Amino acid sequence: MDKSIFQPYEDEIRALEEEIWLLTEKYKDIRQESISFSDEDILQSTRSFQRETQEETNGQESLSELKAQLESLEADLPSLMKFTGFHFTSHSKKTLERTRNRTVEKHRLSGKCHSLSFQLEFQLLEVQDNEKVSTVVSDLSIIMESGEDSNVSKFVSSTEECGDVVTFFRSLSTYAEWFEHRRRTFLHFKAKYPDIVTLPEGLGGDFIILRSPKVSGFELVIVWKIHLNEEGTTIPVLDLLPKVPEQVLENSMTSVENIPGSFRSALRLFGIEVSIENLIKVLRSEK
Amino acid sequence: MKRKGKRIFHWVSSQKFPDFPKFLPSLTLSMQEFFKFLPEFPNFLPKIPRFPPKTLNVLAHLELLEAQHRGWAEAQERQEQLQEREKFLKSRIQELRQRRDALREKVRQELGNLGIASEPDPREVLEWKIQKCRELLRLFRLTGISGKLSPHGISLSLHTSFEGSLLDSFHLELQERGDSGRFWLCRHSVPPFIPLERLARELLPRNPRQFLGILCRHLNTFVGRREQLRKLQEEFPDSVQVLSQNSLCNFLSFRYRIPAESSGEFQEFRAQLRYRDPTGTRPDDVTAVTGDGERGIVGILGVFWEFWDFFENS
Repeated sequence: MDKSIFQPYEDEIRALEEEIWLLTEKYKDIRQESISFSDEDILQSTRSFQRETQEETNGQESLSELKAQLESLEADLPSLMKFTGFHFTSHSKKTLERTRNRTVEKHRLSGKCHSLSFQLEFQLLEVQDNEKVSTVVSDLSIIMESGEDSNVSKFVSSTEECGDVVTFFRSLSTYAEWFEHRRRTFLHFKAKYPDIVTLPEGLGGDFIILRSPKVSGFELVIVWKIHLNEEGTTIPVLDLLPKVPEQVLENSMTSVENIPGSFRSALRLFGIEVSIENLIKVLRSEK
Repeated sequence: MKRKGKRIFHWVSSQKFPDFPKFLPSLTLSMQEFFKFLPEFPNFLPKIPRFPPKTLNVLAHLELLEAQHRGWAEAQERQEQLQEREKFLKSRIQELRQRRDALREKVRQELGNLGIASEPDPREVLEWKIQKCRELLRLFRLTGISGKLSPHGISLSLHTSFEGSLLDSFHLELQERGDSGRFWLCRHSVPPFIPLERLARELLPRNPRQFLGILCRHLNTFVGRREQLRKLQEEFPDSVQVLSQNSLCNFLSFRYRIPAESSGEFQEFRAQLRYRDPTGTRPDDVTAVTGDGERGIVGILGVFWEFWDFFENS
């Protein structure tokens, strides 16, 4: 009976409190997202020796507590980057909408996975429903450095369509590892046998040429393609193409024909590095 | 005071009596004063049947007056309380309105001078950087693996997703023993049908990243199948009935009831899906059986594959 008289007052109070909460959050978001402090500012702040009295801290954390928090967070990041293989180089975020249960943010993220760099833009929607938080990614746009590679671009466009960021990252991780492995292998052989090995397309290329030092014109081209199919699975494919001058062909055709086959079996048995090493040894001892 | 007097005697009579003394409420009424007016009471009383002219039950009358007064005093108190509450609510609204307007002004100013930072206050800078780090760590969720350092190692969370929505997360705790750089699996929240121990034994010491990659694949395909099953049941509650499913969701059987175009009857058949490779996204084995045995299989399979594609793409 009393309550009904004050209902409009209480409604207004609730509405005002809600608006104040929203405005406070919005203010915090704007401050966080529009300002950026340089590294010197940050260093200076960590070194500042302001002593705060109990009244000044006002129930908030003291400067030293904040510094400790920052240190622990900054230690987490590199170890996580080591485990996942992703290094995020820059990130910016803009909050489009924020209510008690729902947040919509627009993110721009760039980074590197091993030697492959990427840039993503997407919209993130988070809805809180009791205890469960559901996260949905939409409006995904991906730019990859090695975008000229046709199968990579097909994978990228199919991922953009379904907005599956997690699959993108996981597939990118495997692809980048294979890429890195190939690059390191090529580099290793180039450094070890500079006279025999040439890389016409450089360390990021698809093939490596082994040139026989004794027989001119006799070359073995090892093609190492890394396929990325639409589902995100990385499939490395290796093959051998011999380039043989005519005289050698006349003399020992059969043995030349057998080379690719034996290379493939060697791959299965001994792995990539050993098979290539053996080929080089054969070339060196070739008459 | 006058009001009080009026109140008490209101029920007695509404007439005004020139000699009627205006005296205080019954609590302060002395018995003598009361007895003075006693003989005159009967004159007023005929209106009130309860008060028989013959028997003047003074004490009862006193009690009644007292109760009246108490009730009236309570009403007065309530009235005061209501007024106070109203005052309080009004002042709170005023205060909130002021705060709200101040905040609106602050926000508008902030939107106006974007990027112009005043002299950096160390606390503000630290809080800003902390928030930035936290956001970056949050973003790691989207890569499928997030976590933080723990005293002896690292605790990781593996996040699964299906078609853009993040689904379940599973947790692992890895410990580093000594300086060997190798990790051991401590605690985890991975369900038992995922071969976690075998993978950890084979891969974790030598190649933790490969271990995580394969484990993620197992978890993601499992959660993906479970989600597809749930969506299937949600979208076609009448046409499809799930007969059995195992925990890993790689052995499923359904019953389909498809209305046949020509006859208007229902075609019923059962199908069994088996995914031999737990990390595969497509089933390896599909068997379809019509209601009347294996006879119509060849014809049915064509329908089945169309149906399957339809489900997959919807």
